[in-house]
Amino acid sequence: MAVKIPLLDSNSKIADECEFIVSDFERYKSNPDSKNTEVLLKIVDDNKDTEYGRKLGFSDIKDVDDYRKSVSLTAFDDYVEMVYREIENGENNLYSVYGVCQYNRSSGTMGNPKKIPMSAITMDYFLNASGKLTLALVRSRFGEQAINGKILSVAEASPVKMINGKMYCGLSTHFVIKWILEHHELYTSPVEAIRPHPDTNSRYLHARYGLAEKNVVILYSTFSTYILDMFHYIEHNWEMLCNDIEMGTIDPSVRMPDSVRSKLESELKPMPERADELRSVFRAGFDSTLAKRIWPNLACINAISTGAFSAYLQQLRERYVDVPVLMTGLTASEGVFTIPYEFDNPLSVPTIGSAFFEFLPLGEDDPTKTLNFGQLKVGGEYELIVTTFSGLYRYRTRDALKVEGFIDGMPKLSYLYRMDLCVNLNGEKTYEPALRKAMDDTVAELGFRYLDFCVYPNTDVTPSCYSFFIEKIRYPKGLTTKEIAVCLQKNLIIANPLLECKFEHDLCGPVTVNILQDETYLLYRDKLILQGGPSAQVKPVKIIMNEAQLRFFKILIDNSIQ
Amino acid sequence: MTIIKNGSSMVIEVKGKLDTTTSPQLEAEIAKQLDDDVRSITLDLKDSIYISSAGLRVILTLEKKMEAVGGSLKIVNVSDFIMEVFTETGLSDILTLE
Repeated sequence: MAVKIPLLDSNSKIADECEFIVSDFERYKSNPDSKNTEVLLKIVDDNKDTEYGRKLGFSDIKDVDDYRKSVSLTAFDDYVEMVYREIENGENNLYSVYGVCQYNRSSGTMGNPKKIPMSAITMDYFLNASGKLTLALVRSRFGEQAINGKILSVAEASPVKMINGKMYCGLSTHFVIKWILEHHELYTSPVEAIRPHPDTNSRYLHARYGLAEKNVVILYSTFSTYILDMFHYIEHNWEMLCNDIEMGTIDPSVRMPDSVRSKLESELKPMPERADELRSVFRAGFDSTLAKRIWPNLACINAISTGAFSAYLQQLRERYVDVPVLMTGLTASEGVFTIPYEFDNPLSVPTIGSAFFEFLPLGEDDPTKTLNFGQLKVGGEYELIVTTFSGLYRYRTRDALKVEGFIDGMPKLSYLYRMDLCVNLNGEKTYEPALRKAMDDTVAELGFRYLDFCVYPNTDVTPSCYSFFIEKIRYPKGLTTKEIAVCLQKNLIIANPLLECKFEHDLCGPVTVNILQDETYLLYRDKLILQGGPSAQVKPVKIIMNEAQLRFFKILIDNSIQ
Repeated sequence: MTIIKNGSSMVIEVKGKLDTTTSPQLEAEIAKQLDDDVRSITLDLKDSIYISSAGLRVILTLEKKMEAVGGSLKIVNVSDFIMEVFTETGLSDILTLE
């Protein structure tokens, strides 16, 4: 009989494995440029005999200045042909000696996903800087006993394609398959929910198994939207869930293949005491104390909760769970570039050693004007440029970051916005944070609540205008879309003062507002998943970028609200 | 709504609106009656006047379910008004419509 290793031992061992990330931070925080340069010279030297390296003269590059002069800033388009040859012809050493362990499917804003190569080195950083680091930070903050429990994760693997013998899937899917499935005994959800059959109501399974386990210490998801979703499901179905936990069954109305149902039911045991406990919790009501009443040892939530997701975190805190939140750092299909260092702190610090980092001041396009760590200033706003162990060189991430302070020489960074995503009708460039601030100020003034919203840069009319599409949660009687539009326009000007003269001189037309039907955002997500999108990476639309998105939202306007 | 089962076929006739209120009712009724023998579903929208996002989600879920078992979902008697919704949302690329 296999010896069962106690949870604490397993989790402690896992937390220990990523200690190098924490120790590298400590070792290099006073002089991150030294390690940064070391990483660059290693990457350049390793790749000097690749086709790309030979073309750009890597063997002649002796320092950072040489590199900046020899290599221009790049985007994915610069690698497409080489990636194509790698996939179609099996060629290697074109741009990287590190090989490819998988191609990450990026979510893409224009609906055209990219195949971003990822090496085993980069993937290793990702695995260490995500789930493992969470355990390490929870242990560091709350003590050893805080990780003596299970993780309720709602992350799921999406369909995987194979390309040239390598997986082609969302980055999160790889994490789920490689990490969560391999360590599934540390998680509450059964394998059938982690890698669900298409016809399985996995939301039920995550909730049911999560509730049955009293000793949950971490709630995890890629985005906080999915955790909110799960709590909504629990709120609407708690009686059924408690009955199933009591009887050790799965309600017949829950959709799943019979083979999945019989396997799971054969393993389930009746838990009448736990069910009674839960019924008392739910009958006492739903508020921010709910999660701690369900799981008394719950230490934190770990999910992307900043930027576009902050509204979802707010709803979570108001209605279901008020525990510390460990935000994730800047994790992209290209790599994991920053990591969190503190709970309830949206700031993060660079994952020193994982790549070569440069910072291009916003508004600057000269590739020789990127900055080192030692040249950064508090308040400075920069685009992150990376050279990675996956063969990306001076790659423009299009992510805008701001330096909010320093820990010794290590910058503390806040995420500003995605540079490709803005409304720009007449040079005013209104980025997503400004749109969100205008919305949040508007709802505060007018007393309505929204689930989510998006903006269409409406150039179909003259003058062009900002057209908002809002899915509401609470909507006061008598409030008109015209009133919302007027308030929103005022707040947009506050959020982006460049808009004032645009409105005054009729360069921008009046803001328009449309209220969407209930469940529109859920429908959009369902549609993308059904079309093969990676479920853990579907992001809510914030700025309508193409005709398909526009048509989708326009047809689902709730015409009963004017 | 009316659900008629005949061996491996099922016909679902939706009447009136399919919105936030009526969609859960439809979903529950389908769950009650759908078994493993059903391989073909016809959703008849002859008497349906309106489908909201919530209703579309129920239809998408049904499509996913039938796809998973190698079956089929066909949506018939779609009015011009409702067809526009399917087309504009892009769901006409996923669903079989007549």
